Amino acid sequence: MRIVLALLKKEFLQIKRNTFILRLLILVPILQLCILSQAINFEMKNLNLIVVDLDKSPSSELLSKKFQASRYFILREITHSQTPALQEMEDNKVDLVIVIPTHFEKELRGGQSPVVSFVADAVNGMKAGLAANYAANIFMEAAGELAQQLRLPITAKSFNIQTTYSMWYNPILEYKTLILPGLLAVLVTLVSGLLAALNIVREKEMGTMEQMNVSPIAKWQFIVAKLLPFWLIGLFEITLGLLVIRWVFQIPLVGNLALLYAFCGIYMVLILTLGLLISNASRTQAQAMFLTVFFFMVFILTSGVFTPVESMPSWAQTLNKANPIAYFVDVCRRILLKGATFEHLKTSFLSMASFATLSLGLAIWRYKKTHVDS
Amino acid sequence: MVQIENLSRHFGSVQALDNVHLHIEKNQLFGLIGPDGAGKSTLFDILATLRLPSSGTARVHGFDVQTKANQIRKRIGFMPGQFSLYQDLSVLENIRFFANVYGVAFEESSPLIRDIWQQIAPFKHRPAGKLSGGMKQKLALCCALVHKPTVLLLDEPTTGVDPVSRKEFWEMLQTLKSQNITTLVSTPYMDEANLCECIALIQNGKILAINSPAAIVAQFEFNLFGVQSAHSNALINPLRQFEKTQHCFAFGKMLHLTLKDACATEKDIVEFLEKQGHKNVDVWPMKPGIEDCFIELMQS
Repeated sequence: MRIVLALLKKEFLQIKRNTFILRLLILVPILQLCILSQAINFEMKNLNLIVVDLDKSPSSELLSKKFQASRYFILREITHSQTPALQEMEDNKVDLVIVIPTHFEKELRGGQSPVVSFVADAVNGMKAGLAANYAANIFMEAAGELAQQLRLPITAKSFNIQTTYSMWYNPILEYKTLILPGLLAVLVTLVSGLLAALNIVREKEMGTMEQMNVSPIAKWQFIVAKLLPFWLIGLFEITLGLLVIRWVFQIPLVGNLALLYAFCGIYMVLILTLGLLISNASRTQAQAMFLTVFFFMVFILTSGVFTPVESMPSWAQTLNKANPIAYFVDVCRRILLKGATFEHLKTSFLSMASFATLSLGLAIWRYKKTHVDS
Repeated sequence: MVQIENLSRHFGSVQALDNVHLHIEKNQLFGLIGPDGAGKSTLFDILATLRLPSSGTARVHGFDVQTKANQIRKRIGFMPGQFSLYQDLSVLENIRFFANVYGVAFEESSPLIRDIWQQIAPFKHRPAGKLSGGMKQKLALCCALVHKPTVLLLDEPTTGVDPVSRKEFWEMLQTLKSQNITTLVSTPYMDEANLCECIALIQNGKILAINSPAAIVAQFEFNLFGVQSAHSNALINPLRQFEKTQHCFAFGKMLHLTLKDACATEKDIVEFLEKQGHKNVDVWPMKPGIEDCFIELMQS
């Protein structure tokens, strides 16, 4: 215990003295949560639009104005001929072209169904789909108004489609609530995992590891003293992140925070021992950095933070059963957004505890004070 | 205190230590002298329980390095070749940390570290990384002594240290003898060899000789001459071709010349050189130093 305390005192002295790490710990969570949650967004805005108005009637003008008012679209121009508009699309200058046919108003008044066509640039399929859907919604709204103005009897029945929104088209807030808990998980993982791995390799680089190894410090004492500071840092990071989510983004945290901390505590043991294993396998900080980034990058990208796990091929979903970050992201979301209880998360807790035990055992086994080879 | 028998260690096909035998008596100041790459650091790593031998045994304090590493770790102080203290911690924090790890209190007045502490105390709040080379080594020695070890392993403690600090450092080592400490110190500097009670000359993983510095010098059985001219280096090749020459090496501005023939005198050398067209050459008989013995042993 005395040795562990001595080691801990030294670790905290070093962390306290390293102003770079201190700034990193405070700034990274705030900046990442604020910037990434704004930048990573599947909602499309500022789509470039050309309306080809072949009708030139008050009705077609009203339709154009509706698009002009939309926050999703930038109405580049209203033309009266189709070919130059499509040429613009070829040149990547416009995402969507809406063609209002001649006799649009006349046909409406005559009770016929005029055909308005949407041409979307589908090079980016997701963007095209969104653009067409946004446009359809605006069009429905406008058509409703038009029908009233023209006193057409068809309003209610034909245009009630606009009331059905699917998740995709929901306002920004929905996406942020989804991404923030995920980002929080990634953040805690990267910061504490990387710091732990680099810290130990730094001892190797500076030669201080040799002093540790010739001293009577036991393996478990060294590992505990190395893990505990970063374990606390991880919990500090998640606290900071939760505060940002709650007070900056005003997202209510519905779940049991104690449960979240409990899971995070187990998860941190896993991540830190992985960091320890990485530092064991590397000689320099550069190697450790590369290994950590490589592994964590794969884990993060397949974890479901940015893309839904359900859309991955089944082999990737199976691999995800061994992806710690996927568990943590999932648990964060379920606790913070859904208010899941321990009963719901029992299997996740169990899996995480087994991973952590396995990794800790591996780390203790791999760490050797005497080198057998080279 | 330290017994090494048949000790070998190889790294792949490189034989770092080759069948080494070495006994170090209690309270001895024992020097391990050899060029870079001779295997000195490997020997230190094995004695400090950082590496295992490939074959043979090594005992420190009667404990085998392979089976009783923990017993050894409590009793040794080790200074690796590379400076290995926490550069971001202050002098005092480093010493206190090592004292805590070994479960002892840091006493400034303890006879073991009193002298060293006096020299580094003025810098006690300075980060270790910002000390001069000599001060760093004194701090490292202080940290290695803080838990009162009985065996001190110092791997090239004076490499890269200025001459004044080197001298001070060796004076400290001399005083440790009276404190019940057995010291094994390695150095590539031959002048430091004379300061040890007993030295082992090591090259390519093999021990060439073990004895007191005086006895090693006494074993030198050839005639040694110093040779110097305005262009000493131009004399090396002609002298190496001289039929009576055993070896000829440059020592700074002069040459050390060993002759096979015990009867040959400086006159023979001057005559030979003048025949070759080298004028104004000084030649005088010399007493051999450790370095001459080392070169002699390396050649045979």
